[in-house]
Amino acid sequence: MKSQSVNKNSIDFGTALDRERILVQRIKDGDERALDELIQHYGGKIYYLALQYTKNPQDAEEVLQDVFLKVFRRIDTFRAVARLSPWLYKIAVNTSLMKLREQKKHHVASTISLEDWMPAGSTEPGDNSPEPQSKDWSANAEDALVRREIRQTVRRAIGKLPKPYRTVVQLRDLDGFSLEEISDILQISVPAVKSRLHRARLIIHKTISRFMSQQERKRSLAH
Amino acid sequence: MECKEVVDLLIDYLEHRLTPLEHKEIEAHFEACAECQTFLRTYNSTVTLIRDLRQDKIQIPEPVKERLQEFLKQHRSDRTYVQ
Repeated sequence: MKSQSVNKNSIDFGTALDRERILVQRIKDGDERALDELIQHYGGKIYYLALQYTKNPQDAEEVLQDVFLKVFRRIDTFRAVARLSPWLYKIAVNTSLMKLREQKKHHVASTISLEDWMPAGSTEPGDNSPEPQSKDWSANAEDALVRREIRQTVRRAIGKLPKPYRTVVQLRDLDGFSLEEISDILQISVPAVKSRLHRARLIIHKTISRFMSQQERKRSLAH
Repeated sequence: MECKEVVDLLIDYLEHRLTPLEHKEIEAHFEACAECQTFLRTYNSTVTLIRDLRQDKIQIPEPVKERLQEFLKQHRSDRTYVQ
């Protein structure tokens, strides 16, 4: 059973890789629609990633423009055997860091907090100790209604994470990069990626546990 | 294996990166420790709930997209071939 699922995954991955290769070749060939497709697929993600770093919509937009210009200029250096998205994200992270350095030089104050983008929740940054808890709320999390209700809480919890943790959760759990790809994108070791990811998930776990306890209290009061 | 070690190894366990011996030890711990079993289940649910957000399509704001396309159009001629 296990080997079947591995095979299935590699087939899916191969198809996605083939699609990327075709897209890259079309961009290399000067197909304008291919670049638009790339923007349509990755533009929002890159803009959001840049916003996480810069916390300023204007700077995030400049990063976005720089990233796609770099991609356009360097597309001929892109190796056909590689995946496009880690390459694109690496450029985006480096460009965002350059913008941050520029911000620090000019002391640009942030005009937006991430919570404006991902509304604030109840998780305190650095609140990362594993909380011993005995309640098993995992069955409640299977409930479609609960899952809908909790989305906002999870989104807020991610938005409140310290940036190094938030970026890793974004790359692993939302964008689906492997630990090695994240290590390459962020230029940190794989153990550092794992550590940040684990701490981030523990913070979110604690937030969800609190949410589930509150829901349970509400239900018991209603009865 | 202590409960704290189990928590520390969870990522490797879920990513199938433990050595066969570590895997055996952690599984034995889960069988014996109800609290860690619960923690594993809720941790797994946490990952599932985070990944549920993948369904949210993050779209680039339309004016930002239009300005990006205009910007690229202006700089398209700058393209350098480095091979």
